Formats: sequence, C-alpha cells, structure tokens
Amino acid sequence: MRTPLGQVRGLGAAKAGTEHFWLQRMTAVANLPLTIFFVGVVAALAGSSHAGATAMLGAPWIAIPMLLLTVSVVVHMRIGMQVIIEDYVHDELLKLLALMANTFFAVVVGLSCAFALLKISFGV
Amino acid sequence: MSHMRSADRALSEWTIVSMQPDAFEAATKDGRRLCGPRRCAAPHHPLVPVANFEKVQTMDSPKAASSARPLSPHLQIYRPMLSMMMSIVHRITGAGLYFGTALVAIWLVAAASGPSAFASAQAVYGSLIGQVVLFLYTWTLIHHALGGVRHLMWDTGRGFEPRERELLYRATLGGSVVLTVLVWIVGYLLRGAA
Repeated sequence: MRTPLGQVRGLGAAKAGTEHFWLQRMTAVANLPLTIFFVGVVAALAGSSHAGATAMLGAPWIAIPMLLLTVSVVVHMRIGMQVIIEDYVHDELLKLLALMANTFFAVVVGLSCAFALLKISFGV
Repeated sequence: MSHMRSADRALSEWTIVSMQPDAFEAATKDGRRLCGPRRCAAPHHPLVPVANFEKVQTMDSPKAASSARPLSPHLQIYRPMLSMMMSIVHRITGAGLYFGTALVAIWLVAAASGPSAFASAQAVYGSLIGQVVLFLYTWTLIHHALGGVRHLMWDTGRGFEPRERELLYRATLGGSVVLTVLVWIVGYLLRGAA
C-alpha cells in the first residue's frame, strides 16, 4: 500500500532514493585512477627514510591526489559498509550502533589521513 | 517448537493459487474475505500459505507473523559457482579494504609525527608479518578494483552473456594475481630509492 505522497517521493522505507547507488558509482570511478596513483606512491616509498617520504608526500602533485583519494575512499567505504551492516545486522539497536560506528570510523580515518598529509605538506 | 520445524510446516501447507488481477480487485473492493481454509488470493505472488493465512492475518505481533512465513533458501542450499563466489569475494575484499585503510592512516600519521615514529611504522610494515599483510592488502585492493570495473561495465548493460561473464571472472582473478606480483616486483626494485 503506497500513499500518493509516497509515490511522488518514490523513496520507500529506506527514506532514500538512488543517491546512495550513484555516489557509490561516482566514488568508484574516482577511486580507480587515484588508487593506481596511490599504489605507485606506496611502491616508490617502500623502505624509504622519513626525509624521503615526507619530501615526496609533501609535494603538491602527490599530496593533492592523495587528499582526493582520501575523500573518495572514505565516502565509498562508508556507504559500502553501511550496506553490509544493513544486510546482516537485524537487531535494531545493534544496527543503529554499527551504523554510527561505521561513520565514526570513516571520519576518523579520513580526517587522520587528511591532517597527516596537510601537516607533511605545510611542514609545521 | 524449533524455528526450522515451524518454517518447514509452513512450507508444507503452502499451495499455488492463481487469480486474475481484476478478480482480485473485485474481491477486495466489496470487502469479501480473501482467504478461506482452502482458498486464497494474492495479487503479487502465486505462493500463498493457505492453512496459516487467516492465523497470520489476525496475529497482532508482527514478529509472530513473520516466523510463520517460509524462509528463502540461503547460501547452504546452492552449489558454489564462480559467479556467486566472485560476488561474495567482492564484498569480503571491500570489507577487508575498509579496515585496511586504518593501516594507511597510521602510516601517514607516523610520517607526519616525525622520523622516529615513521621508522617504527616502517619497521612494523617491513617485518615479515607486515609484508604478508601488505601483500594480501595489495591483492585485495587490486581484486576489488578490477571487480569494480566489472560492475561498472555491467552498469552499462554490457558483459552479461554467460561466456562474457565467465571471461570477466577469470580476467579479474588472473589479473589481480598478476598485477599484485608485478606491483611487488616494482616495489622491491624501487626499494630505498626515495
């Protein structure tokens, strides 16, 4: 049974439309070139000294893609894990807590990476 | 009574009933009962529990009602196939990468903290266990990325034919292993260069 208003909004019980689907695709596309770049950077820094690593990570042409990757990955992984939680955690309270922890984890990882990259770049 | 047993019982009491949609419309409009002991109508699904239907309808607890419904078959029912395994692995690698991002964050924060913190991180990541974890992480990343490309391709409606699907699965698997080994060879060749 759908009310006319519900039909117009087309959101259903999830209270969301295709934004989630679309965001997952968009960040996936962004992740592809940025991840290839990231793997190259990490491979180049294998066994590197601190001076060498900070010099490389602090260069704008490295730091900017790394920051972009951080944002894209954190968004992608947060909504990916959200789907996993919603699929397997059926207890309402537990699900709520897991979804909250998911957001906290994504924000902590994202902000840590961003802060570290900016600190290395600005050298303070 | 155990969960499984009641589900089994509910299944055995199900029967297939078909009814034309307009007949269903008419039945609901004049408020007639839709389900009797051996007769039932549902517009969306031909499978309706006959004996349990009235009981389910009158139950006030939604939990009790859902326990009388049949359960859909889950993983243990199906023979493992490449398609389903690749789908499962895509989700597992995604979950693995999720937690793996913490390793990247720790590494970057260590680099931002100073030479001694970075040296410790490099020592841990350069140890045997660290290298094994990072090698698996590399494979996980590449496998998930290639799987993602496959999904993006499917989003355009291409590559759904059985032979194309199989080829894509094999390419994902083989490609992820080959690329992982290549990345590590390059990593070892570049070791200490920066």
